[in-house]
Amino acid sequence: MAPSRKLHVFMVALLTLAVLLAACGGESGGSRNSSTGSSGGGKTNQSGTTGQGKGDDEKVTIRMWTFLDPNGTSAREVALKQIIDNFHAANPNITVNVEPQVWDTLGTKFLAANQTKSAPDIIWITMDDFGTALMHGALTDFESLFLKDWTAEEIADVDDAYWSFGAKDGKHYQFTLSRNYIGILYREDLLAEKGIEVPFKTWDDLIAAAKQLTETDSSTGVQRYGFGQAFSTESPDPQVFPPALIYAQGDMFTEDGKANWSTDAGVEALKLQLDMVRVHGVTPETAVSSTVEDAYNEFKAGRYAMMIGAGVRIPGLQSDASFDGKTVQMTFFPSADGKSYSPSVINGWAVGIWSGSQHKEAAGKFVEFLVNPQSDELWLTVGGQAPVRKSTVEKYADFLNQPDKRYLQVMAEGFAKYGYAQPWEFPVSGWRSDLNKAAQDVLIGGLDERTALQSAEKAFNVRSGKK
Amino acid sequence: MKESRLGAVLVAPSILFLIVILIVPLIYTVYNSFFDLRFLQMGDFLGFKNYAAVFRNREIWHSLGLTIIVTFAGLAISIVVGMLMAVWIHSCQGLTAYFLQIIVLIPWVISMVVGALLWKWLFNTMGPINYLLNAWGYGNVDILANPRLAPCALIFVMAWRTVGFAMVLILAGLKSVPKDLEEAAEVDGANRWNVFWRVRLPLLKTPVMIASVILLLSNFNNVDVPMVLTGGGPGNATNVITMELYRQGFVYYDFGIASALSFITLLINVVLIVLYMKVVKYDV
Repeated sequence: MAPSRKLHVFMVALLTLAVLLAACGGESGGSRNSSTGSSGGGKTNQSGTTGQGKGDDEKVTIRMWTFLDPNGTSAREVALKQIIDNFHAANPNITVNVEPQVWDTLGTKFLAANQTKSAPDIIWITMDDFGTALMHGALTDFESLFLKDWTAEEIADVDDAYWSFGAKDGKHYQFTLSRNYIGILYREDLLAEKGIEVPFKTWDDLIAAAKQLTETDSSTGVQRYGFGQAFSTESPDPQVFPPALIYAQGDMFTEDGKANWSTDAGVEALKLQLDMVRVHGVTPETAVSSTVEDAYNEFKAGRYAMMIGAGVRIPGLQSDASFDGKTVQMTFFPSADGKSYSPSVINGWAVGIWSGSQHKEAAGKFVEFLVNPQSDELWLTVGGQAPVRKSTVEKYADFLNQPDKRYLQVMAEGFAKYGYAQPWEFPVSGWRSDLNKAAQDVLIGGLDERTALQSAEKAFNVRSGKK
Repeated sequence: MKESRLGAVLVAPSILFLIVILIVPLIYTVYNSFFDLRFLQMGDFLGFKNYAAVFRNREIWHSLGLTIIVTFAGLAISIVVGMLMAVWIHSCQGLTAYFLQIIVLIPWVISMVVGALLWKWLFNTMGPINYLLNAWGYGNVDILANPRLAPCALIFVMAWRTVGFAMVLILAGLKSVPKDLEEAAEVDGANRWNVFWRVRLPLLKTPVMIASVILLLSNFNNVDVPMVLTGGGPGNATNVITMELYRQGFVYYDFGIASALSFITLLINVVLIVLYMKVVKYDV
């Protein structure tokens, strides 16, 4: 055989070997991570955990994916570190190994890892993606672990809209941490200068206030806008459209999971949102390409007097603002008729236990620990987060009344009375991007509101399999 | 015979590594492209339906056209400016030459994300560019929110990032041009432009080609810069094909469509390279 032909044969053999190795590698890794928890005698498996026994004395390492880094310096991260340290002290045989992830990749990565049987024991997943994870059987119910031992009083202490989210056939699959309420963030000092009072009753009141606040800052020379929004399709947050639409028609989706945006109410809601740019001039044109991160940075830099933002971001805004951070507060979305406030999308991070975990008991212990009274207090006092337990709210009433903590009361009231929990029974991923795309289609593409919303509806419905 | 066998054995680990990280994922991607793979759940076999959906999607055609424009415009700017920088640095000596090379190379060696963020802040209406415009009596120009200016900004940042690489390769080529050829041309009465155009440039064909091919692929497949700089907006003004691919997979979770689009993008890359080489009559 000529040398070149031998080389070709060798290369083909090598390629075939590589393909076979790669194909077989996924299956053998999967069997090591069987959700039946078959005995394996202490081998390290793909989930990175060691040991397979359930005895209290056996050392167990559990993996957790979250966007928080216990070594980080933000308030939430400091709180998480303390909670983990407390857990380790109370459970010396269990080690929690946190693997921080980029927040908007957590859902995709978890679904992929679930397929390849390499998911972490504990996952933080957005409420957008929670329903998908649940439908694919990727999560374990808490009743089979620790919840069966809870008393009725303990359950009542956590029972709210978040607790019911994703509950199926009487079983619960998540606790919602880092509970979030999207509202209007504002600078108390600037509103006080103009004699503007909050909360706003109607959208017209909000627009009038925003117009007053749109001016050049005399001390810094910065052109300030009254109302910051962000219409980028990257990492989007809900803007004015969802609360305005939900107030008018009750829901953003039909019962069978289709987007329901191009209604008359939807057209009015989008018009309201975009007129703030093109008619009233209280939102700059840069909003069309701004991400929410851009909006937060510009708010901190003094560019906005008010903006649409998340309550969980307020501690960071307060600490990093170029002005007195204590003046950052939160209020509700107004409504068209002023009779109530418009419901805002409530969100948070659903903390669940992977159904394929080989350490469900240990993972359950830690998840339970994350929401016990001591940890809940840490989330509130150190992390600046809305508490999970009603008892924590009662115990820390004075804390919540502090001037720079009043936003937490707004959030708590919002969760209870003016919140909209998006559906989990059908996939809703990407709806925020779709709505921001509609905004861009109108502002840049010159489409009318109804056509833009119909296009967004179609994109959502096709993608969700609801043609 | 023994030597060729030894060579094959020594090279085998690297080849195996490349096969595992390049070829195997490619084969798996093509495999996935024939299935309904929404939310990473293996669904029904669809045949070529994903490919048909890709070809029927107007947004994707728009992205493709935009990507080709951005790729070649950025490439042309990089090569021309890189050439000019290389000629200038070649004429300098000592520390000046080293210093200039370092300055020009900085955009290439820093992270793409950092570079794109830097320009995002520079282009911001509160950034230094608009500050200077205001100081000169002009109003603010919202570059990244303007559907005509945003693609120009994207091309500029892509070119800025790759000028250093083009400069380095062309400079290396310049240094290898025999001095006696240039001197002979000068003796024959050629001026500096003629020396460059008729002596240096033909001999720079190889480094220019290599730089072009690498930068063409780099620009075409770049996702970091458009994602950080504009996010594909405003509207779809900078929605290049890689942004669309990312969106299909990681925002909409439709990995079947994303896989089909990935493979089509790969084929386009290959076609572009082959066409480019044929146009400039370059033999491998």
